[in-house]
Amino acid sequence: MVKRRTVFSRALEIFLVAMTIVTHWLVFYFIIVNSFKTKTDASALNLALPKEWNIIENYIYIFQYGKGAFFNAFVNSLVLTFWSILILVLTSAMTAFIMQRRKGKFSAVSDKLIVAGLIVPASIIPTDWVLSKLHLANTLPGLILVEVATLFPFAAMMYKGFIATLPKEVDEAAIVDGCGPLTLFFRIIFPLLKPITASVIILRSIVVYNDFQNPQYYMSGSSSQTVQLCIYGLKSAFDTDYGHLFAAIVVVSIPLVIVYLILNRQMMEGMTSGAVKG
Amino acid sequence: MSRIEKKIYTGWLAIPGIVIYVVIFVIPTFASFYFSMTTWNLKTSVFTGVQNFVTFFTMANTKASLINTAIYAFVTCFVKVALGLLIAQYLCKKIKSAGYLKVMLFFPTLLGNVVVAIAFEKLLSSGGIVNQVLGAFGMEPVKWLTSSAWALFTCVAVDIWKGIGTAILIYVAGISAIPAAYYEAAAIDGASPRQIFSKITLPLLVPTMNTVLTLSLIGGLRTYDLIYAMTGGGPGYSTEVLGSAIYKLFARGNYGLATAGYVIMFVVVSIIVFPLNSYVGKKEAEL
Repeated sequence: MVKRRTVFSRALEIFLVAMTIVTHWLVFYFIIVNSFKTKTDASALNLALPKEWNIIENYIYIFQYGKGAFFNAFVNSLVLTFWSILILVLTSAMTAFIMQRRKGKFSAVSDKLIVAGLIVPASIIPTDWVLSKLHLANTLPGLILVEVATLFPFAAMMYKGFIATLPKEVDEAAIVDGCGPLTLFFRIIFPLLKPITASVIILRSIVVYNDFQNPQYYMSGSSSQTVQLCIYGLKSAFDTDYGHLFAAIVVVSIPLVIVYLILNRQMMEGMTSGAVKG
Repeated sequence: MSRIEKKIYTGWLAIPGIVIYVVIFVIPTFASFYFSMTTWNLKTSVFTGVQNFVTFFTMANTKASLINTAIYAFVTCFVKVALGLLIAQYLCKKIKSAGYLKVMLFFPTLLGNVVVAIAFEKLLSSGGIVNQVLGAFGMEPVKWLTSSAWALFTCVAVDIWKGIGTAILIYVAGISAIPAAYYEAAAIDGASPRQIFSKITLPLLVPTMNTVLTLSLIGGLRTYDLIYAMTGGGPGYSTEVLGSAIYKLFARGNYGLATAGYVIMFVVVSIIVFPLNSYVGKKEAEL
């Protein structure tokens, strides 16, 4: 009985690993190998090795594309992601701390609003209207605010759940030692939130960097683009030029792969510390 | 609350987050109810009552988009919740390749929806590699994305390929948070693996399952970029979803009408997800 179980488990493992080779490795290989090919070679859309290796030409072409339009979009996306995540982490951690510690009417109302924000979809055109009143429509700072507001409920709830596990005695000890509100939060509490901060940074960076819908709505009237919008434009611009198209796809995907490979372990720690469940 | 507490837990710390959230999210949400009943060019709006809703429901693509959104959201959500749990449960056992499989299955999540859409569009194109392989086995090429019979199904499959990693990740986190003592006690009592799964793992995972369910259902109801970048809603209206129908109205400058579309999405999401959430919440409390 025990033996049959292990045989079955072993077979399932081999099946799953074999499946990822077909459904994952071959897909990644297809993208990468075609980014090395010349236009005629890539138009066959197959898995063969390039007849003529066109690596350097393809990648240089992408970085120079549209007088640097692609490169600018790439930088815009990195800037967007950096500021959105920085502001998101600070604001949601601070709000969550106060909401968790103060049990008043204000906390109760905020709590309801934020829980509703987890479910309700973001209204888009009225948001654009508000941004235009603030003179932020079609700008990167405007888009950053949109990303922060959209991700705020989930991040705040994650922080709030974790802060609930930090005993209030920690605060009291700090207060006795003469900490003010800012020192208490930034010197004592915020460092203790590190596991959640790590997973918020990684998981939400993925969302912001890869976001297509918000930039498509909020940046459509702007000359500066994000890289996901740019890629979408390249799809028709390089309609028959798959070598360059795939080179662009590879470049766009690299930053998150690097972040993930570096921070994967910390992210898992943050998630298992019991944060994601509510 | 004591005065010292009021001072130390100062509301000022909460203000920046609340202000951004209220100004950029809450106010526009309420404003959308008004603007959905206007003809609007972002500068001036003329009140037209329920006219926009009447127009929205008589549009040629509305019926298809509502049905497709429902199919898309429920199928992707169901597979992520069920298959995600089974895979996560398996990966939490002591198997050699667990680490590799976790990384591999999560990897597509790192790619943008547009990137995934372009890659699969090329893989599945009429002369693409998948059809080349089918041809090698003597089979007819399948119009994965260009026939109304297959297109929605293909989009669903690609969405699952891309999204199941997140579900697995959340489940793995939930499973590893279950105290080992429960399993040890069950092993001493001679419980079978099936009993352990159904009496310990499953009940304790209800909150995690609720998270996966809510996230993937909401995602499925709102999303359109993956589909839009792969098929543009076609062929015909066979992959039109609510999100892409609304975006098309926005792109044409019909802001009032597009906002009415949003309000409909708001209502659809709310009437499905809020009751579901409180139902699962009640189940949670019972356990």
